[in-house]
Amino acid sequence: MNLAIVFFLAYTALLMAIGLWSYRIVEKVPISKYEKEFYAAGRGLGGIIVALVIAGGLASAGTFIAGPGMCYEYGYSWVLINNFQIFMNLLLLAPIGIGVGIVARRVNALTYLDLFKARYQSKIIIVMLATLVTIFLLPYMATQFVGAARVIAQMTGMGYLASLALGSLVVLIYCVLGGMRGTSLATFV
Amino acid sequence: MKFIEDSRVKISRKIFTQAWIYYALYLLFIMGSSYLLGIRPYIWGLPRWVFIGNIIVPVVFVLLLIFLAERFIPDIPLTKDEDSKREE
Repeated sequence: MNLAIVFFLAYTALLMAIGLWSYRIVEKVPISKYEKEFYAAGRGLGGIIVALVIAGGLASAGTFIAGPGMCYEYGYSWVLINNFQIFMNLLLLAPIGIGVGIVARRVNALTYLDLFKARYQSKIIIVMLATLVTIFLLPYMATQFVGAARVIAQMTGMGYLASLALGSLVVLIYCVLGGMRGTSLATFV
Repeated sequence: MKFIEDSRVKISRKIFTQAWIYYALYLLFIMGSSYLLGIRPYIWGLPRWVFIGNIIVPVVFVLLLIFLAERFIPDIPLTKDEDSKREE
């Protein structure tokens, strides 16, 4: 068997194991704390893990496929353009991270929509924001799935649709079973 | 009623300023080195401006940030609301 396929299968098995392990933690949590555990890993991931998860999140299809592709097409100046975003998360978290963290705990918010709900007490605003989030996140997620499928197809020699289905299934399993804990650990790995 | 600001917000604003100053310095360094170091091949066949300006400088700044974050960014408890209770 091709070494690339062996590594791919081992990595996939590891992600599934993380999903199942996280599920075992999540299912033991009392129902009153379930929402907090599922969506925010009980707010107990810690700074280092969160930082590594953010770093892992940046290692996306854009970084590994689009970036090198653009560099190949347009030259090294694309490396310089990419370097502008290295401290993007520092610039975002420095002004709003502490404030959002304090307010979210005060109003028991788990997502930004919860924060806006607590602030404006308006269903229309929440529906509007949820719609906007869905509209703008769908293309982003689709890009990630397509990128993953292309890499899997290239590595294993499987067909594109089979790679897309397999990649999506693995992501779905560790997200649905493990919640934020499973997702964070999988991203960390 | 006198408004007493949560001390954590003050720290947050300080970190915000530090972050933007750090980013401005980083931009200055990568842009400066990219424009000034020239295009002669350096290591792995990469031009000098790419290797130093876009690989070495970002790595140095990332490592420096770890040190600065440990040194200058305090760990603030996000759950203790003593200051906000005093406001009320």
